[in-house]
Amino acid sequence: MMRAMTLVVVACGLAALSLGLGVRDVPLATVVEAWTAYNPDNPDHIVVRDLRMARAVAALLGGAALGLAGALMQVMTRNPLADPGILGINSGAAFGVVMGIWVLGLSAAGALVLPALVGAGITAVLVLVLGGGAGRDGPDPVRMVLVGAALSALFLSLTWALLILSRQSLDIYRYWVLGGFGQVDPSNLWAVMPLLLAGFGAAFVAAFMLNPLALGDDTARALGVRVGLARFISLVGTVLLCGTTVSLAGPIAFIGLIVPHLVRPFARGDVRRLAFGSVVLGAALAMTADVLGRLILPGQEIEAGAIMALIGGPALIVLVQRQREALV
Amino acid sequence: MSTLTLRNAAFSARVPRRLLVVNAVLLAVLFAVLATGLLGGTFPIGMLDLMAVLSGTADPVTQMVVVENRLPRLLTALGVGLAFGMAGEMLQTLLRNPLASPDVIGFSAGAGLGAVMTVALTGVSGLVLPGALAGGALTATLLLALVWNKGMSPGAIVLVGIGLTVTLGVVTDLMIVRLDANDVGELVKWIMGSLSARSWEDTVLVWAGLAVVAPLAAWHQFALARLTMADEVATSLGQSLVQGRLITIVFAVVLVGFGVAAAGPLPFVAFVAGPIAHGLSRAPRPTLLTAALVGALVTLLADRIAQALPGFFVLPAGIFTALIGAPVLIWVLIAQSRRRRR
Amino acid sequence: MANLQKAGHSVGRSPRCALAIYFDIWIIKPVLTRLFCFLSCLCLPAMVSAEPRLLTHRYGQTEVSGTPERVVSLSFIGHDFLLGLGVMPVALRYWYGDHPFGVWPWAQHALGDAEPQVITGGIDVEAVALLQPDLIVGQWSGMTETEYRLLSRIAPTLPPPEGQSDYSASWQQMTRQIGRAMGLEAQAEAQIAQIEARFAAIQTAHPDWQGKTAAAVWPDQIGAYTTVDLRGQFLEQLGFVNAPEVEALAGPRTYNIRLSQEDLTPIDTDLLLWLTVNDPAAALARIRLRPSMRAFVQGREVVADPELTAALSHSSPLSLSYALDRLEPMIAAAVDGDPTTEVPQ
Repeated sequence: MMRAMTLVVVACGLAALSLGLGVRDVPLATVVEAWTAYNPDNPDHIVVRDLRMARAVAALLGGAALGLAGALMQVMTRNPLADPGILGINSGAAFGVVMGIWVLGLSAAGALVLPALVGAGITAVLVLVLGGGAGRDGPDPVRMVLVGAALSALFLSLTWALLILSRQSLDIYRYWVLGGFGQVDPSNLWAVMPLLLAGFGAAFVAAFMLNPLALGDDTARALGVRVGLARFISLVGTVLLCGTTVSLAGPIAFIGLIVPHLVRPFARGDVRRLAFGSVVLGAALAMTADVLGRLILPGQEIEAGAIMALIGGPALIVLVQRQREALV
Repeated sequence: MSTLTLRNAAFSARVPRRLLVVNAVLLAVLFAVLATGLLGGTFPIGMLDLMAVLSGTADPVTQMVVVENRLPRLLTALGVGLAFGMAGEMLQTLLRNPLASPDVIGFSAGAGLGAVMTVALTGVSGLVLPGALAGGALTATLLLALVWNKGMSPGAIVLVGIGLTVTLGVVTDLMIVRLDANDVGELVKWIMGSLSARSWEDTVLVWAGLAVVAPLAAWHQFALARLTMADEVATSLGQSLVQGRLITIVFAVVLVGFGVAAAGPLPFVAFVAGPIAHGLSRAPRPTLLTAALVGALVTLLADRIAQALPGFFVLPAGIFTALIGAPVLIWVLIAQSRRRRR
Repeated sequence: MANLQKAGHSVGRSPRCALAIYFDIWIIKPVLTRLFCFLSCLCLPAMVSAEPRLLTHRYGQTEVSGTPERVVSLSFIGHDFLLGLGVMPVALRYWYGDHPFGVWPWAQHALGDAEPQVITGGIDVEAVALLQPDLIVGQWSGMTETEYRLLSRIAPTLPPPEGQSDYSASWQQMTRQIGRAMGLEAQAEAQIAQIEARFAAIQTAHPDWQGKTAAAVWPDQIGAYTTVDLRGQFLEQLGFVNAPEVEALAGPRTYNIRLSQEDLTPIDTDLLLWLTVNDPAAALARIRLRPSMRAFVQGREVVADPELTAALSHSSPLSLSYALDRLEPMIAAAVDGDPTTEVPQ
């Protein structure tokens, strides 16, 4: 509990800090002023209140969403390697977005959420079904990751095919695919908020239901848990969380993989603790990545997704060093 | 499992019959695909044209199409497919895990990044091969260094490898963005691999690599088979564990390096070759030849499909290796689990 | 560059009154341009030279003899240049846009009834061979050296000029080379001279533009073009200086740099040209700090709608003619720094 509260404080602290950090040099006094004495003509105030605030909120929510989705996937599939990126759900959502831009001619993020959700949904269902989730024994971890990698590559190729045939989308996509919160608009945020909140809701409901599942499907059923329903709700939650985050900020890898691993020792087997901890740590991690991206290169920004990949790789390695048992 | 025994005074071998049949069928299909690659096509080439080219009497355009366009492309695709297939099979067998293929655990990504960096920093395209080899080698070294004290457990290697692939992929993307490669063609070659407009240099490159490594790998496959057994058993058979593993990884890195230098990191070929080969032949791994043939077939088929698109819709073959490889892999997985349930 | 300035100086020596300038810009120039194009098309047979022409380019030299009849344009904008010289390509490379054959409106009249093949995606050497071309144009196509080698076996091929990268050739270089390859050198030179004269005349007519800063920016990613790119070069040919801060941030081969939403000062120039592809209003509305830029407050922005943007991106004699017609009044109204002057759309 204490640790969770610390994390919450850290996340909020970072978010507050992020309001003062960025390419534009805004003195602390002005940051405070933007809230107390807002002047719509002052560019510093606009930067702090509109741009950075939206970005901080997006980073917190997006990171929380990805962390939670990852935790849920890992529990649901009993696969410590499950992550929206590895299982291909991010690629499916990304493909949906590109299809939306190219085929349907959509451009507002609010409208692109729907194709992203469709893409994420289709991929998630495919991964579960083809990964053996429909069988009695539940999904096979190795097979699921294999199927996920297969689908990920599949959607990535299809995405590239579309981009090659429509060159003007390439420039936009090339930066978007690195994944970051810098282009998030307050209006986009509001547009996807209901779906994002629905995703959080479904995910937490599923987390509560999934608790006994750790004892095994049969035991869980014997305890009255409706396993099928729990899986379905967690699927819906995962798809909503991943799809909305991808449509908002592009595909960001590793948060869903690393965060649950870090939280697990403290969750002591309780899925609800895992879920809550993943939300908080995910938010903190995404926020850190976003802030770092603004500070590393003077005058330019590096996307949060790129930072996550650069941190995530070594972090994963450290994780593996710590794990005693073979994970696969 | 019925086997065929070949025996003469100095040499004796037992080969499962199904494996032989599968290899023969694969070879036949390969030849057929190669033939369709050489004949027909967007620019119609018939047997007469081929004869004319062989005798040197063909017109320049036909000559160019056959000798400078199709042959190098087909041979490069063949070579790259063989190399990736072999590399994939070796690593997957060593690590006892179908996930542990060079493109998943980062060798291809490292080789691709090495190639991009040499091109970006020096602007000389001739240094691509050393760049690719260096990139792949560095990635492999990093991987090994990180998991060394764990005794190279397969799970650890796979996890770390996946992490490395994603990280390296992002670094490559960032480098490409800084490169201002305004053209999709260039980007695609280094991200997805490309088989179009291959030159004879690319062909010679990959076949030189194969010529050196393939015989060594074939000889090494017995050691590899021993390594798949439990550590104690292998050691008792006189197999040095560390040396055997290192050699396998070195071979895989070199093969992948040559393949990437010739055609870019074609996704998925190394990943699917092994499982498909195993699914077809059901022989104990390593089945280097079968996997190599499957890899070559996947690559060639992808190239054929890319060529078969209506003449003015041109997409790189790398897209199709994934489009073919993914469903086939999924099908093999499903078939395998169905068999297991029976 | 030097030529342009010299031309501007010599013309500026003779005194002109404002009315004459107005008459010149609005009526004489557009009419003359169209008349010239029409006449030069008529004169086509007379200007063709028959001896073999040698062209030097990035990969060496190419020799073209006779008059190429079947021309394939692999360059994304090559067809614009060809159509401007009165040449109908048998195949062209599709770039973007919803227009028949991928040919934008300013070049449609030059296309007439012709129905060229449209190539989408990458370069397929065999498909090009099937077309039996006499000349292959690829100065803005991204063709690799291997592709050049293969294509040059089919027909004389034009890759980017010497010393240029895939997309950095200037429109003058491209026009000149295509003109030379087609044996229409005189006509090509005349076209270049005419457009350059137009630029020069505009420079003279607007001495207040000279030395002012300008930026051509893509609002979706806030990407500003540098002088390596055709669009940055366009601004400099009008006498502007391409945003110095953008140039400072860019490397020697960078076409375009991305700026952060938080700091738009590099593009807060005396003239800000927004290049839009779809939904200009929405794209601009997303830029939060725009209302606080001096360029916005003083009405120094020019919003190029998708068609005008495409004309600037294609940057061929035909499209430049169209772009200059539309842009000159818009820029004039914008650069005065007076927000009340309406910038015509």
